[in-house]
Amino acid sequence: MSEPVLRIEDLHIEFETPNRPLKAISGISLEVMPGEIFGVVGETGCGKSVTGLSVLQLLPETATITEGRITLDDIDILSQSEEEMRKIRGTQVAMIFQDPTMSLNPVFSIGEQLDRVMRTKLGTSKNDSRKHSEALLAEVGLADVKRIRKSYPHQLSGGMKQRVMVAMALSCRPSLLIADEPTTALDVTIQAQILRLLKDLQNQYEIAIMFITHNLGVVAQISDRVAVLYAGRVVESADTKTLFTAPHHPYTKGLLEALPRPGSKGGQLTAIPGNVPPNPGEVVGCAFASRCAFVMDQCWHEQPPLIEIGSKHQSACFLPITDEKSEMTIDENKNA
Amino acid sequence: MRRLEFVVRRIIGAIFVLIGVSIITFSLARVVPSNAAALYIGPRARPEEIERVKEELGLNEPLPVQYGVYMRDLLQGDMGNSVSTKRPVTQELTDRLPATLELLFVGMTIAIVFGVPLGILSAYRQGRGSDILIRIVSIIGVSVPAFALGLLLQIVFFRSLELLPLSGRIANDMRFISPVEVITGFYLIDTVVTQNWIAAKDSLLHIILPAVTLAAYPMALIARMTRSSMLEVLSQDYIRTARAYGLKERFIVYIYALKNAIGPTLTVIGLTFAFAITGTFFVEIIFNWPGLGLFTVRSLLNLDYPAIMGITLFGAFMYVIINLIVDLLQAWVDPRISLQ
Amino acid sequence: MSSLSTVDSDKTVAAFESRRGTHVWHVLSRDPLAIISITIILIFLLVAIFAPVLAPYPEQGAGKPSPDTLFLPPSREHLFGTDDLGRDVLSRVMYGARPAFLIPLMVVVSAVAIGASLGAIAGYKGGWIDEVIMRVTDLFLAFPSLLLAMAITAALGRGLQNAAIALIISWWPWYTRLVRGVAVSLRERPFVEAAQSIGVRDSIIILRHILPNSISPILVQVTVDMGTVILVAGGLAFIGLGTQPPNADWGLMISSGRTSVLNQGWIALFPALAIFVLILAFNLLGDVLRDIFDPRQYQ
Repeated sequence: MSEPVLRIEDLHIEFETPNRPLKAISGISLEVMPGEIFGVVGETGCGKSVTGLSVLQLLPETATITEGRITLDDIDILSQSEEEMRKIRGTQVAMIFQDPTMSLNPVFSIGEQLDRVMRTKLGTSKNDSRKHSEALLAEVGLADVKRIRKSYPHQLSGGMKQRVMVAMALSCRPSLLIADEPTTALDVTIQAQILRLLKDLQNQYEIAIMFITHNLGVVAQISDRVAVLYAGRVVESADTKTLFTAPHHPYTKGLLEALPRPGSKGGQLTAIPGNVPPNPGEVVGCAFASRCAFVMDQCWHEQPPLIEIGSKHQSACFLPITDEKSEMTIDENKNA
Repeated sequence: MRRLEFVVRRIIGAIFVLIGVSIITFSLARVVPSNAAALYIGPRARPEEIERVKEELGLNEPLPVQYGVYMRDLLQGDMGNSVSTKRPVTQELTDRLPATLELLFVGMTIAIVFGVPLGILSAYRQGRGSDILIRIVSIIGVSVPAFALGLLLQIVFFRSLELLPLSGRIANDMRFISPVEVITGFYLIDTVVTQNWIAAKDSLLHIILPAVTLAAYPMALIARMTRSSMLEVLSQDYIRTARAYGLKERFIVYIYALKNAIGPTLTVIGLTFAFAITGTFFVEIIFNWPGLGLFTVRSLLNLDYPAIMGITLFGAFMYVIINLIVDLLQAWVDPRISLQ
Repeated sequence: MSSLSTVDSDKTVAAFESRRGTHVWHVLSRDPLAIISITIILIFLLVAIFAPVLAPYPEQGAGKPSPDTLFLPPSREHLFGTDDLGRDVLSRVMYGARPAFLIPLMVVVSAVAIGASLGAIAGYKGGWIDEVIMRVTDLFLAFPSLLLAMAITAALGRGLQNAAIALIISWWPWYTRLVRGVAVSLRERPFVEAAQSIGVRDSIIILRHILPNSISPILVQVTVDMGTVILVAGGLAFIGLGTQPPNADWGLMISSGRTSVLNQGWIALFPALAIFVLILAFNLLGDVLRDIFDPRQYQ
């Protein structure tokens, strides 16, 4: 067993608000292994982006990590100074953001922006950076790299810009890439291309990717393992196949049922009723209780712990653990 | 290519504005006053003189013809003769221009060199002590009239501290001690070029108070604008991206963010130049600075109309040119502008 | 059906406006800077209105010389001292508050009236009307405003009234630009399009929709401009183009106190302090209002 690239243990994050602190993350633990794609799924506001930013120590000023440990390549992230963190960013961990249009500086050319990262992080000469970035741009599937380098962000399409961001992320060969909704702002066809690109590059470079998204369909395509986040907690985590075939937590089931399936034409899409509680960190029992179809008395006053329910399959729910195989048959029957 | 097109378009635009400006000054000179000819030779004119001037200026012709004559003279640099000095207005202006420009450039340099970094610092340390202090200083800066600030500085630095000279451009006895050899008319340059260090030091000491007085308002305005545009830029996603890739903080603020934020600041610099052109008038009065301002005020009070119109045209001309430069600089800094 | 929907949108816009009104008041009443600046402005305004009652030497305040009391330093009888004609400086400063309010009010009110109507028409109508109005506006903006005001005052003759007219001529373009920006942004809004689709007249749309929505950016601009016009009008008076002696005006007082500033500093100092404090109050209030409304979104 190799050591994980990233290990997050019992992470708690609070946001200052005018009235009282808001708990955004209440004890998240997860591990990303070398060379795997680890999907982090959840609704808007469940804390998935905050988790990503906390690895880079780039949380907004109003946020504080109140508890927990983050270990990246054996480095204790939370005890690093700002200057040490600056050196880690880009070289050991890189991040791709949701909107490529907003992520690139509008008044510098693509070449200038790529070169600057390499010259700062790798200390390469102007000439070497240029060659390196041309090679990278070609590698992420961009044609006419010389012209791209001279272009400004507003002259490129969204998909091209996201490819540039991928090139920037790969430029210093980080061991972990955090991709925060990298395809959400793009057209569906472009989405698929970017996903394929990430998958290819991940194979080639053996980079671990933490893939943050609200879209289970995307996760199914790309990731090896998945953690489902709800209201600042991991509610279920498993390898992708298990999660899709034998989900245990009612929230995961709800998300799966809400997915449009290519096979079931005309079938009804189900939505999970209700909303995430406004300050879930303060809810006494399970934060999903008010929306859960299988809610029990226990759920209202006790927080279900995240427990092992199968091989590398964890869930935070009091529901009895059903046999994975029988669950699968039921599921298949339903579909048929 | 597109940039070149943009530059040409802007220059043509500026030419049109200048034509419009000439129409407005023409109206002010010939149409608005009930008796333009009388204005042109001063308050104590005899009737036959007025008739002669009317003939000379073509005031009996229809307006378009008058405008044609006015423009023809203007393009030849003829703005008439000053009523009080009897010399050509163009001559009077060019004689005094170096003194005013020297003050204007030194003042605006102070304003920009201090205003922009203070604005950046203020934005970067938003809400902290230094930000609050800079904001207080800058709101005082935009609230204090130059003529009040100049007097205050004179009291403090001349009378109380006895550090700096009261007024003038150079000590009166300098022409006996070490006279300035005029080459460009900019004393600071001329004295340095001729290695006349005594006069150089003296003219430098003389320009400090008026330049600081002139700089206060533009500096405060520039700092305020830089602060607010920097605040906006620093909250953008691409700044977070730059941080996520571990770029140096100093680089992120002073180059990466500033290049985005400098646009509105450039606009304000252009605007404050306009304020500074008229601002020098007050500063020159207070510090007895022998430039255009002193001449302007004298002309205004003597109702020296040809001189007043010449100054107005000149001021507007400078303003249009400065704004053109600002536009071009902005297009150079921000590649998106020339594509609009 | 369609008329019903316009009535609805009218109501929501009106409700939005009034809610914003109470919101502004709520924020202002909690902001110490706003309270301080409003208090200062009100005190100066009251002094301006009641100067003849409040001034210790009303006649001297209005300009009557007093040869027996030349250049007296501040004392119990003359808190701010006396000037070169023996007049009580405190009384002069109090009388000086009158043009300090009068000119900016005249200028700003007229500039808003001219500028807002032209801007609303230009922005709402678009096309060649917009083009013509805005080109003329740009021409006026091509002059440094104080320089233009100086030239106009010289053409019209000196004095308070002509100075005010000159300032109006050089000030309206700023409001034209501002309101045009608002009008352009509103032109495509559903409630304006709905009103157009049922044939509401343009003048009514401008009065009902465009102008009410321009109020907040105008208010911010007016507050800041009050300060700026006080400064510029003071400058005109300082040069000798504005208020004429023996009337009191801060700019004029600073100008005449200038010659003796090194020995009898109080003559220029107190009017300078007055003009500074009043401008500062308007600028502070403008900052607070700007934070509430942020009119930049229209520019």
